[in-house]
Amino acid sequence: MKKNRLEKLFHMAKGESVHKARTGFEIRVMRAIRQEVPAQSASLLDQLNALFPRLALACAMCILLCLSAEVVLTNASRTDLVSGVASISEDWLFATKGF
Amino acid sequence: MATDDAELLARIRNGATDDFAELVRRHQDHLFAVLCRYERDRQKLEDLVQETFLKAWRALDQFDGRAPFQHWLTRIAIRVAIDHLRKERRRHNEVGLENLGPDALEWLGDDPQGGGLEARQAAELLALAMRELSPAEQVVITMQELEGRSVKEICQCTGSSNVAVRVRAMRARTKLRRGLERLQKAGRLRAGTRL
Repeated sequence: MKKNRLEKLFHMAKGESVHKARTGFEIRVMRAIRQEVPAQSASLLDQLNALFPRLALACAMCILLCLSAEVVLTNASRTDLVSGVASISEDWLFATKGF
Repeated sequence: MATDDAELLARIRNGATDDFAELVRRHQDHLFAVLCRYERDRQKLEDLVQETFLKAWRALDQFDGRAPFQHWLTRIAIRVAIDHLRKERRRHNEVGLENLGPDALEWLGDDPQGGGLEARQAAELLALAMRELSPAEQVVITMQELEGRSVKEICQCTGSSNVAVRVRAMRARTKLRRGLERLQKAGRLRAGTRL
């Protein structure tokens, strides 16, 4: 193969018109970018962070429920919750002879 | 109002994700022009350009602004092209003459008075001969001969040394000549079987 044959081929191929982007190609790229954004930010911390307001409300409700139970039980039996639970565990849970 | 790339990048880093679309609009034609030398199929070419933009998006924090944004994008595109050529190389082991038209086969023949080829036919013939080259050699010779880039520019885009680029270009030419000779022989055989 002659040396200038390759140079000629390069010269001819150089003249090929290059492709241009289709209209709206950037929309396709942005769609692909948006698809991968949530996948990247799905770590455990991010999930907890997203759930934070609900988790905080659930915890506050639980604390309020315990406090109200304490108040009701104290008023009803004139003993506090701790002594009530201790008495139940002594009578029922740790009873050696059963009922 | 038109803003420069640096301003757009600052806005994107501050959370204006949608402004990246403007960057895509500005640089998409450049990337198509770079990558169409390595992939002739339109659909695959669009995939390559999209992959380049995705990689740029993921690595946006690493862009330090010392070089123009387009240079940085071109470097990413070249890496995408090399990866693509590696994958394609595994798939195509044999030269496919069936893709060439009769004009190209005729041009390959020994007739020195033969006319020229259309740019598309020449590019197809060259693409076939390039299958003999390694992806790195293919990128160097394409940038040098088809894009008309200097050795210095190729070094910047590929991250290779001056010597490595020159050696690859030289090897690529030798292999291309050999590849064209092989195509010439195969073309003659094909013409013989037709008769």
